[in-house]
Amino acid sequence: MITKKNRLVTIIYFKNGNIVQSKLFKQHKVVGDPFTIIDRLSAWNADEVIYLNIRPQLSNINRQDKNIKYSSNFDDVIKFVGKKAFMPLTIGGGIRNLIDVEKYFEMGADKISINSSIISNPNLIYDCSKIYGSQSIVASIDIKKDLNNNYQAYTNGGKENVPNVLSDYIKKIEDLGAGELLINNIDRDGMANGYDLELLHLVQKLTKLPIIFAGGVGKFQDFLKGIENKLNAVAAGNIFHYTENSYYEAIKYLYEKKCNTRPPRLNKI
Amino acid sequence: MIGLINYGGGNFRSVSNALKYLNINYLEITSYHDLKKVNHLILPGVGSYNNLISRLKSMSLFDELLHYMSYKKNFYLGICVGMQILSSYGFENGKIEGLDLIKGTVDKIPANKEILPNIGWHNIILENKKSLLFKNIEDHEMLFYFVHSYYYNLIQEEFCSSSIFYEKKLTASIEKDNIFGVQFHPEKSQAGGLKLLKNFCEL
Repeated sequence: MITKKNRLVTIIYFKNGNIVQSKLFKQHKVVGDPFTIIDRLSAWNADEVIYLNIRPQLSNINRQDKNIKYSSNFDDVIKFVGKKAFMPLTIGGGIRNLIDVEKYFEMGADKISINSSIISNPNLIYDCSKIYGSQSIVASIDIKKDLNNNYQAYTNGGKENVPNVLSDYIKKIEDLGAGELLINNIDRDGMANGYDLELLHLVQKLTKLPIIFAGGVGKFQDFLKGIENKLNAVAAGNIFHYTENSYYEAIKYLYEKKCNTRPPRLNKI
Repeated sequence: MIGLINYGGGNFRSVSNALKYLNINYLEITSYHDLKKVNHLILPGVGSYNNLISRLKSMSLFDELLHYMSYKKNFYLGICVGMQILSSYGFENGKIEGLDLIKGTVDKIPANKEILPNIGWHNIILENKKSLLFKNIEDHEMLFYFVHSYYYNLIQEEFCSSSIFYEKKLTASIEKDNIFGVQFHPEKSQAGGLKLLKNFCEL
């Protein structure tokens, strides 16, 4: 008997006060308001939400050109989101030290996603796992193929390659005490050509940690492919912004395909 | 009055947000003095068994909790590690003594095929059909969010009110008179979880 469900994880990309769709980590198209999105995800009964600030260096600029009643500062957004997210919430983007980590837990985050600081502050994952437990630390790894056709991990929004080969990098992350991996394929980002199953199989071989996998979902069948390939947490960002009830429609599709997800449900906002 | 323990570095905020959403007034408990003022107490736990025990001891809450539950017989709901510390011993980072209120030990999930930590939603199996904690929760809402590598290995099965299956049967919630515990996170389990918190507060 299986009681565990597969997870459909939605990733929200926040950039300078807006929610954006992302393409190849370079082009970003504004698709919505950072506050209302969380009401929609609550209404859709989302399994899990990962809220990422993809350009943290811009986050403290309060935009004057937007005619909204709230501040567009990332922390103010998360303060608001934390109060409304009665689902598992992961926060990431620009987390450098324990003070940042504590700040987001205090705002209602359940997990923290750490990416660039794996390299710039390697003790951070270790310290967090001792204080908050491994289960609250997600190591986020952005990957693309290099010129020799090898998978290579990157930090800083896909700009800097990490010094280690991927297998060593993942081993290092496990040893530091991360509880989960968030894998994003840069080459597939926004391309809607499906998950890179070759990469999925490689990562599955390299780690025993739970994997959240993203990059390339263009249609609901792509999630199905992930689940058929033993992926428990299928994730995407862009696809949830195309149509009004896309998350609900996606989980309905998977449920009807007997993918062992939670049943689809719509709540009133 | 409902009390919510804030020992620093737990998921106090998530649970307090859920109570606010439910329009339930609560008192934030940061010292053992405040325990006298409440007859319902929630301990949201995150992190390791030994970490929570040592925090409670440093706040002089360990003995007060025993008094609160076994002498005064007031209601207690432990979430995640907040449930686990009701056991006799925990084996996360060495053998640690717990409150020993419901006999059993907290052991690592013996998973060979399955992945640890166990993160995700489970359809729980109700073992105690009379449990007041699950009152009015519809079948399709019996789905709760779990994040754990350790589980409550009960000596007396009769105190298990619900379970999940993850290579083997694991305790999902426990119940003994005035003492309740859930391994999952009701504050993160949407409709079913919010109803469960409400049920507890209305006991």
